[in-house]
Amino acid sequence: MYRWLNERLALDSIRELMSHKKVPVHSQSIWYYFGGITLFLFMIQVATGIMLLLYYRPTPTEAYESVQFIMTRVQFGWLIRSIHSWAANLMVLAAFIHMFSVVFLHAYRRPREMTWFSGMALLGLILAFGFSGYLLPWNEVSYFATKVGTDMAASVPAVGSYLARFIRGGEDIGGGTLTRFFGLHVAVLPGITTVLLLVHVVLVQQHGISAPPKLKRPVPEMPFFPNFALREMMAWYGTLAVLGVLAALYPWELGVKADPFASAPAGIRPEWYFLAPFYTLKLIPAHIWIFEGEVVGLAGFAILIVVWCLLPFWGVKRPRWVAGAGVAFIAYLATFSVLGYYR
Amino acid sequence: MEERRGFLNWVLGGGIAASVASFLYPVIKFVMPPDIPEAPVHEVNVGKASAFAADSGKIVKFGNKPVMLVHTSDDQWKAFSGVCTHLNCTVQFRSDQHQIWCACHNAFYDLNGKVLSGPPPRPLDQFDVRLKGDDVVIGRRA
Amino acid sequence: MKFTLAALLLALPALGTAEDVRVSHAKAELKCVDCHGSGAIAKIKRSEVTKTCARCHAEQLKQYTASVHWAKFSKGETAAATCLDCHGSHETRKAPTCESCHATLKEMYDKSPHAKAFERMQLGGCVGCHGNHEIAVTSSAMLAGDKSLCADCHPAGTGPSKMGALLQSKLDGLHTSLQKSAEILERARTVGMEVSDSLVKLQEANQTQVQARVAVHSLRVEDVDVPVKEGLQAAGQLYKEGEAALRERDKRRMGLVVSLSAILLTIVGLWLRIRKLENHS
Repeated sequence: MYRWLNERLALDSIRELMSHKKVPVHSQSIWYYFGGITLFLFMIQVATGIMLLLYYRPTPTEAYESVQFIMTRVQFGWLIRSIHSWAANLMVLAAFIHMFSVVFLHAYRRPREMTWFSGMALLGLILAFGFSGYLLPWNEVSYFATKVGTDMAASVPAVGSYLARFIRGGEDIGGGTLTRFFGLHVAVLPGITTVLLLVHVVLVQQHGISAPPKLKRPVPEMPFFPNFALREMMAWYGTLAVLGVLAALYPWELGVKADPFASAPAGIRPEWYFLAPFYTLKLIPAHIWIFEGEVVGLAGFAILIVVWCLLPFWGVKRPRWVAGAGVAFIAYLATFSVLGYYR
Repeated sequence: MEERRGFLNWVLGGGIAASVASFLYPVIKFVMPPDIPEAPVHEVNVGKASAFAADSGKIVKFGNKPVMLVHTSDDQWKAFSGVCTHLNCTVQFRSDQHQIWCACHNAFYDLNGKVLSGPPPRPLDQFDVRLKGDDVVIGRRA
Repeated sequence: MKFTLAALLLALPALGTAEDVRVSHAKAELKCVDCHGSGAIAKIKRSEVTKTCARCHAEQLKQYTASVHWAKFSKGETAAATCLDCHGSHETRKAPTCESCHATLKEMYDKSPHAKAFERMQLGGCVGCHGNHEIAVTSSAMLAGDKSLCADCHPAGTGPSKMGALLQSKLDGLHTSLQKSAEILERARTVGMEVSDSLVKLQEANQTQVQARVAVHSLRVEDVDVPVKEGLQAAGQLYKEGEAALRERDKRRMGLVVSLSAILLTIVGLWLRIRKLENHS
């Protein structure tokens, strides 16, 4: 059987390549698991997402009811849906941990700049997945969180109104928005993500796993197969355990069906991974000099993101600055997320 | 030694098999559709048109909610949410006034669902009514 | 002479009700500005009606602010009765007109022996039991026991007194049953079970309590039994749904234990394999 496949798929050469893959072993090796965990969670999302597709209906009159159907009538529907919602959050968290560990271990340096760029693009895609997926249950929270998000898009100067109309599929959030977000969430984003993921993973194989520059060479290593792979299996199984506990003991809420005519409930806010920019915008005064406050805020975010993406270019000669910037960024994100949650 | 190795393989193999089974079981159950393939109610056949006399109104079931179906004297069909927007009592049709009335606090709605008098803050939601042959079908407004 | 006397006698009731207030407002020489203020005469906002009338009728206002109508009104339910709903505004009258909002109640009341009796005794209909300004929150306690209103006229052991006790037990039974269902559904909801459909049905079932309290006014068991039976049936069904939800939660917990055990076994197996692998090399 293996011989038959090998003759046609050149499995032996892949095996040969993989047997050379090594993983550095040092005090910070634990961070090496988080890329794989993010990937694993993505695979779970694809699997549970496909299953949810069997029952979900993407129109305003049926979306909420179909999710209710899944939660109450479909066998284990509550489990699949809760796993999908929890894994989404865990994936965002894992992706951020992975990104910050790359920053602190200086893994973005030459020749791994393209890996960094593809990684940043993947992070953006994950956030887009989160934003588009959040609307699909069509409950009160999702409706107003999307409204807040698209209103921010509308405040971009010059192109704002076109951008908002494009995203919303109309003047207001409605059936058009749901259709667009659904198409984005199940077709466009998965397609782009798969391609970028392949690029990202192939590049990692190409350049090998980076060890922090400060460590004395040669750095002790372990073979990927089977040593690291077995450990990674443990990590993935551990992730499954966490997901199982979360989904079974804290099933995801159905909420109240969205009613565009009802006023926004007090304390409306986006999902936790958007809380920091959300709260920042809340703090910015309405006008700064001649510019509208929101515009300044969005411009600030844009600049920050561009600078962060260009890290491989400015972060090589001054590693201390990078560490400082990383810590500051984490502190900002953490503080403002907490503030955004409670205020 | 052999026994030890066998035991270790057992633990790992057994664990993988058990865990995979515990994942596959809910997946297989999930993909088989439940007995009631449709949960959300968007259309209900409420009976024959001949069962509803002209100039009358009746409460019918729409899923688990009441709907007021009105057959007017000039042969029009209208349907509204049967839940009063004041404090959720079920409304009724007053043939003496040709209006929809709520007994709880004496509210009146006209045959367009608009509030004529009384405490309700909002008009009644409207539903679509269609005649499929002799059957009266009520559906949600999109 | 007889004619004049008859006319006077016929006019007396009229004098005693609608007319005397208008007469007394006129007697007090009330002008438009006394209520509407000087300057541009504005319509008095519904929220300010009580303040306006209280300028002279402070005593009544004090009673009114202890009432359930004020409790609702002050919380934003401006449909609740305020001074002008019973007394009118310019055509101020003294006769209370509860049935203009509480129509079904009047229908039930008219079926009861109280209707004729209270009229004969000039107790003022609804006012006889509920008061006029200080209308308190009603409860089944008004039917029997030490807070009983029936006992004001009907001694213990009499037919009416026993009827009060019977009606009270029906109302209380319905209330307890619905409360039990509400509790179990809330328990199910707090542990994460999806019971929103049942909660909607519970809201509808609670209507039967309102209907039962309305039906009580006819003082006829057959009228009260209609909503009570409906409510008890719904409550029973909802309790079963709550139980089913809690059973489902236990099943889920079991399932979690099973899969967690399998996962744990696998992790241990992997760890042992790793150890074996690395101890050899």
